[in-house]
Amino acid sequence: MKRDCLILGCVIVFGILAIQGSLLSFSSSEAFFYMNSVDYDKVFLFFIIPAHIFGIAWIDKYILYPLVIRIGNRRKSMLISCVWKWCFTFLFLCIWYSFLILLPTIKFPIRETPLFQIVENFPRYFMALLISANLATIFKHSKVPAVSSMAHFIAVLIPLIEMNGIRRALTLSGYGLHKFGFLYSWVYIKGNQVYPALLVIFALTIVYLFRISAKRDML
Amino acid sequence: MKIKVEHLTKKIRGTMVLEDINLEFSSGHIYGIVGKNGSGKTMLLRAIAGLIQPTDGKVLIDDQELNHRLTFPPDMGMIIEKPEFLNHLTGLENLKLLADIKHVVSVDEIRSYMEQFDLDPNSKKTMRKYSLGMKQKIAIIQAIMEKQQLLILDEPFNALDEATVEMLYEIFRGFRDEGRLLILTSHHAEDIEQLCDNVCFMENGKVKR
Ligand SMILES: Nc1ncnc2c1ncn2[C@@H]1O[C@H](COP(=O)(O)OP(=O)(O)OP(=O)(O)O)[C@@H](O)[C@H]1O
Ligand SMILES: [Mg+2]
Repeated sequence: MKRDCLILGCVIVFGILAIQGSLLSFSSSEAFFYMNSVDYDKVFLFFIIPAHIFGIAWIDKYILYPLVIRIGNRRKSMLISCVWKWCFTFLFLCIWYSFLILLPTIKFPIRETPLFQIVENFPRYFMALLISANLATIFKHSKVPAVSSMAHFIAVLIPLIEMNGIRRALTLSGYGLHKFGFLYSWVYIKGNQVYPALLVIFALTIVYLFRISAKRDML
Repeated sequence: MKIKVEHLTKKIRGTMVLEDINLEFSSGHIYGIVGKNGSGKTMLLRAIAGLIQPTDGKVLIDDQELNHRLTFPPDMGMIIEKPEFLNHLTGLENLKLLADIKHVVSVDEIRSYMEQFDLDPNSKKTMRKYSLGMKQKIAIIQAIMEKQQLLILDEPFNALDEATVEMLYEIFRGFRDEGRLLILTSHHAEDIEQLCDNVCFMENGKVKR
């Protein structure tokens, strides 16, 4: 309950920041600038990821032992909960994107809206959120009680540290990463090498989840 | 059904919580596990239920070892420690959610179970507003509603009023006579005397006969 409040609080604070950001961007006079501001990594870090993780935390609440023993198998129940999370992720992004597409049509003529540019990034965000959902689940299953109880919070923190800390520091020190990323920075790298990279990370998280799920103690 | 516990040992982060436990359980009996707080009763039940992996030794259900293939004993109803439920749903909704997985119990049957335990199935109260005893009743209903053959009950009489406890005695004896297997723990000598035909004492993670 306390953890829910914490996450909800974060989502609200970040949400306000994001709304403020989009209002500012709305004052931009051209569709091109609008596009740039929604695709800004702050929106992703401070709004999309926390809101998404809140949904993941909600799904995790349902995984109680009376449910798991009825499903009858740890791996199966893990897979079912993951499929739920992935479906939620897809729906969540679809809703977010329909806002992104509808909002500018209020202000700008349709043909000026950079639809293609907006939709082009959908697969990247989708993959990144899937990875984030899997990471949250991995932390949730950690043997260290502190990690498992703060799982969703850590899952929000990681992209924040990566994008705002590591990536920024590297760029400032002149090692700008244009072709390679770590986990989430792939989203903002141009080029098609991004998709296999994100897929590999996603596959690794799933393999790891399956390995730990069979052995996990449900205390 | 026959359950064999062989040389079961469990270490959690370096502390020994179960040590070389050897026990046998068979259908048609009620087994009682007693011991002081922290003696390992709940841990033993968790191990039998497949919720924790033994560090050493094994649990056999009808000669089949519990492992990643057979994770939990089939057809098991259980209560472990505090009941876990979704607090934003009502009692009936919680039970329906669980019943929807196996589809062996109908909504009408769930309602009649709730009435038997003096709970109002039509109440709009969410579990958050349930009293301790009411939550315990829902936990018991979920453990028995699918007519499970193996019942693992950790302090099932906790927080229940006398009339309900008496009723449960009758229900559990009925289960035993039907040939089901019950394993329970309790801190009240009376529960154990009234119900159990086999008792094992635990101390510091070991079984003392
Ligand atoms: N989640 C946990 N993580 C680590 N150790 C635990 C955990 N739960 C219990 N233990 C330890 O395992 C030992 C046995 O605990 P257990 O809960 O089985 O006792 P119990 O006999 O059920 O006690 P009670 O009568 O209070 O219910 C204790 O030493 C306890 O500290
Ligand atoms: Mg206990």
